[in-house]
Amino acid sequence: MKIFKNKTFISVLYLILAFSLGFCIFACSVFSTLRFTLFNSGFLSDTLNQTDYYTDLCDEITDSLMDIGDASGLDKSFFEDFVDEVLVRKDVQSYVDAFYSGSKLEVDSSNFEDALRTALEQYEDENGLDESDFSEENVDYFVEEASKIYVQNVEINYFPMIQKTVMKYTSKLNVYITVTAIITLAILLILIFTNKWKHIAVRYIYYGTASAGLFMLIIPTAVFLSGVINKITILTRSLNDMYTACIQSVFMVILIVAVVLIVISAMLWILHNILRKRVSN
Amino acid sequence: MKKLFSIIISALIVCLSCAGAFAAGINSSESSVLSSMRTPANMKGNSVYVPSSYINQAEAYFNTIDMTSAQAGKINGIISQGRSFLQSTGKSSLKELSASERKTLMGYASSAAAVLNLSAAAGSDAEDIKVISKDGEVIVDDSGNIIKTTGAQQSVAPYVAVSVFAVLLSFAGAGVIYSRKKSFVYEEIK
Amino acid sequence: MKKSSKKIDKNIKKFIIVPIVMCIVMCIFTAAVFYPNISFAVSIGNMFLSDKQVDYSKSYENIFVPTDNNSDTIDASEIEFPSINKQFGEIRIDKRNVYAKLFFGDGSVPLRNGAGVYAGSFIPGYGKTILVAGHNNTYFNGLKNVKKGDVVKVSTSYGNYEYKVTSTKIHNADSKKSYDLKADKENLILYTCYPFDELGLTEKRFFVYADKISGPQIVGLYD
Repeated sequence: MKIFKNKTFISVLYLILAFSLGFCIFACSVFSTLRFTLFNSGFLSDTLNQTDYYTDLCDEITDSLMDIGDASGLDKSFFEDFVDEVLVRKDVQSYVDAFYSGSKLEVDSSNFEDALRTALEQYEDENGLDESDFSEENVDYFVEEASKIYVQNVEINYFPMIQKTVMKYTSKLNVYITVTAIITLAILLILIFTNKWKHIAVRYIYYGTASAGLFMLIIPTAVFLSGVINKITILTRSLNDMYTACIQSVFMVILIVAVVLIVISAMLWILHNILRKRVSN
Repeated sequence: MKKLFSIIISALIVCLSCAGAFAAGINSSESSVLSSMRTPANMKGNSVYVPSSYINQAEAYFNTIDMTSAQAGKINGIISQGRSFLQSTGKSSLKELSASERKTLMGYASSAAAVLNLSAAAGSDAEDIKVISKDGEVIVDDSGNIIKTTGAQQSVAPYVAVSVFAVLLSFAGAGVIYSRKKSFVYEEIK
Repeated sequence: MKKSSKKIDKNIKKFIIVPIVMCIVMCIFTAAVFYPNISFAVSIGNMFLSDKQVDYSKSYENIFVPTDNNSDTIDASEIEFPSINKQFGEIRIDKRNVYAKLFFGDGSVPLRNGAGVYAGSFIPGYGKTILVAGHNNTYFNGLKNVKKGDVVKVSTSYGNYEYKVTSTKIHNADSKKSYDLKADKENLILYTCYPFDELGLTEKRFFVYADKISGPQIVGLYD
């Protein structure tokens, strides 16, 4: 096997291995980032808590309820302090949990409806309204419509449509992460154990790590510098806050991983020089 | 099918949002687009029309811009392609279109927007369509109902949000994008 | 000495250039493999980007400036056509205590602040249908007293219009008989939720139909 003694051929072979190592590190890092961010219920819940999502959502529900109140003979003040943030938080959290656990996505609006009926009865008493001032049927319809508004706002629309895909890829991502991690490890072992001189092995590992780090750096840098996140057009403040925060966090994680990879590669460079000096000596 | 119409018409309107800011009346380019919009698509002998409420909205918007003949040419080209495509599907109504056919229709709209480097459309819930020009002005605000319940808007914008996820995943270069995206498009225009 | 510095140079070049080249190859490889997905996603994504951030304030723009113009016609070039959520006029029925700011579009901003013209209908003077919505609890509460023959006044920056009420009707919200958006005759339709002054909500709407009696016709609309 004369070819394996050819120095150029061996170098090319190792460069290909280093490239594969870089690509696997990159893929493994991206899959892991996705798995622990977008495909993780804790990440979404934390984002909702960190942004003003609940406060904005309560305001939006209140505004919509006031609109329907304007067509239903109710004073604006009726809905002013009606929406209960604690209930909204509980219902949104249940919805997010159901989304990530693969359960049926539905909002239980019974607590909201009960509170609304109680408030309506109180309103009738306070304003001296009797049965001649309303029909039960129309009040029921009002409660039904108000409840729809509540449910539509609590639901994160289109989540039902992507739920199956998220479930499917959550398990697939675990496999992808494992496979890329195993390949990465295998290439590392090949590089280490097939090189007599360890500084050469370290150099090829450096190539892989540094190229993966640089590649990962490109994406978030391009996104942050282009300001594309601030250009996203989402028409409700609550969702806008949530999605921009989610996207920012994901790219920030990618950026951090990229920086870590670059720091590791810098350390490998130093290690390479130390090992090389030892060999020279 | 209101939503499908809305998306296509909205996208077409979005394509025009780079036009001059203030120009009253309907010029010949705008007239040609309105006329193109009024021409039905033939689906297996059935004529499929764009609802007049959408054409009227387009006319109202055209009154606020000044469309060039080049822009009109592009838009008419897209409408014509869309019409031919509908005819070529061999289906008798929009309801019968498959997911991939709907995706193709969506592709016409989005590629036009990309070619003209404009856009910015945002939806809300499944029935609510909103289009915003590049400078943030609302161009179309259509809940799908002509007679409003109360004017109450129950709008959130998942349409946008989902696309954001798709773009995000694309940027990440993950292999999961394709099938996710397919389902997005199918549902978005459903 | 020279030899050793050359070696260092070569070493640095290797350690900088090789990862950069590899990174570029990775970019090209990834772009080539995922190009159809990336380009499609980016083109769809671009549809949801705006140069300006969305304004979440509940304020609105007012382009209405009262005018004395009562001529028979007005050229389209003299009009600033309103866009969605802009106040472009006022509507009143003096006898029935109805007064509201008039907006283009009938979403939440217009209906919280006055009455709104459906964007799929037309503005006064256009010679077509003007479909106006308002809340029954606020600005359009007075519609309950409107009678045939009442005069509805609409003021805009380009002219003042009067419409005579021809009838009032109650329709279901989803009834297509309640309006004709293809009409070639200028007609004003005001509607609000029905019944009035009752607690609750129904699918019924109260419609007021009126025909134009005066006000400038917009001319020069079409080239």
